[in-house]
Amino acid sequence: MLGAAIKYSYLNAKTRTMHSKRLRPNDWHILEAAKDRDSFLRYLATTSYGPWVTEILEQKEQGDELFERRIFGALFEDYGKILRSLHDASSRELILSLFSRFEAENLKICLRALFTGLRKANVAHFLYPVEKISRLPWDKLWQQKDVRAALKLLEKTPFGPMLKHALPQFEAQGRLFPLEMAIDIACFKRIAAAAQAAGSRRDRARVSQILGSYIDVLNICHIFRLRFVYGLSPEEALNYSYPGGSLDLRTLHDIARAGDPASMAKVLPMPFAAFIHDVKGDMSGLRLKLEEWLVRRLRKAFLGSPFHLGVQVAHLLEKELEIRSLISLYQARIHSPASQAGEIVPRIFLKGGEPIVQAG
Amino acid sequence: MNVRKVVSSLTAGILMLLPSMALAVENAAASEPGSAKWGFIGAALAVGGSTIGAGIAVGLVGAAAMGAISERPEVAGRALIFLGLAEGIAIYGLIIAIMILGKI
Repeated sequence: MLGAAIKYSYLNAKTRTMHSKRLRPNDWHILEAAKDRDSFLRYLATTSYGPWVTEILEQKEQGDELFERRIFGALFEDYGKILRSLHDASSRELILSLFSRFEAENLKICLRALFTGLRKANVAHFLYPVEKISRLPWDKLWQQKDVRAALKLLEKTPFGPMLKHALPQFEAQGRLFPLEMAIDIACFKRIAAAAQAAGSRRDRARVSQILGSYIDVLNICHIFRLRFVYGLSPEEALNYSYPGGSLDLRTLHDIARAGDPASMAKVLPMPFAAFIHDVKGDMSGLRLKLEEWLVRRLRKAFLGSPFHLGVQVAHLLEKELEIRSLISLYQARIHSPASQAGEIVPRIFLKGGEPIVQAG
Repeated sequence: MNVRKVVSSLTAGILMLLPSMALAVENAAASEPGSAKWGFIGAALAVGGSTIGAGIAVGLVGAAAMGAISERPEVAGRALIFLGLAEGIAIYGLIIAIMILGKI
């Protein structure tokens, strides 16, 4: 206990202070009431997102395109601070593996650009600002002439083995989908492996709980999207599920085999079933309910013994969800001003709420 | 810093206290053989132990305070209160030592 207190006293206080800077229900209500883009951004500039929003406000012509990616700078700054404060390799690897999800998104955009013959300047507004933390050779990647050359450059990175495995499928199908799925799965395999090896036994137990819940939510939404939006077969959808969740393969199989969104909601196990019983079967409703459940789970990490890596993981995941909700609300303010924040943002952000309401 | 480093620091601290304790016992035994030497040992242990405890507490609270202040400078005043509480542990030991020495 003394060892854990010494290891986490600085980091825990820093993380909790960073967590205290999240948007309050009052901020969400003011943002919801914003009449246009400028008033939305001007209020957001008064919150902890100020430094990033000010930059977007100054570049007015490109502002809308840049907002969705540049606002993630706030999250990446927290990643950087946590990484600088962690000294043991296994804990750093866990945080880096979580960060690699953003590298994966940029990598997919890079491969798509190479595949379609676009240059970096054409897609720059889709890229996350990962440069300060990422170790991937981005400059060299953007200089490659085709996908195969880029894959060769990635051989020795954590994405290399899975990409090599997916290369024959890419060449046979002539589309990027196998490579994109390989990047995602490589990323989640890395997260699962890092969670198994992170820090002490207490760290591993708390981190596995949190990441298990996070990956479960991702898997449910992912299977839903692949089955009912992209029309994939249950087996294919299951094949592309992410490793590391707490739902077993049989449960995921039952979810994937459901005939329609409503019956899929019915086969979900507890505690999801209790939480989403009133969802009508649309993707956004399901995602919102699951995200709300996830945020409540993440806030549980801040209760009880404070000295474990779960606090940092929970903070980073909650901030990511907050930013994604912020982007959804921003888009809604521009494209459909009549929409209510309750249809876009998890209710727990709007109303605060107790950290524990559901078992499991 | 890991547990091994803390344990070795504590051991070093206790070892540093030993000569002064031995000297106190020797002086007490020379002037007043009997129970007084235990009083000196008790006073030395009270001061030494509480100072080591306060050192650990200030280390932990100070690190946490630095973490919080680096994110929110406005909490510096409140952080100082908690540092003072940790530092107070050493004063409790000193008071007990003075009380013991007063009885001898």
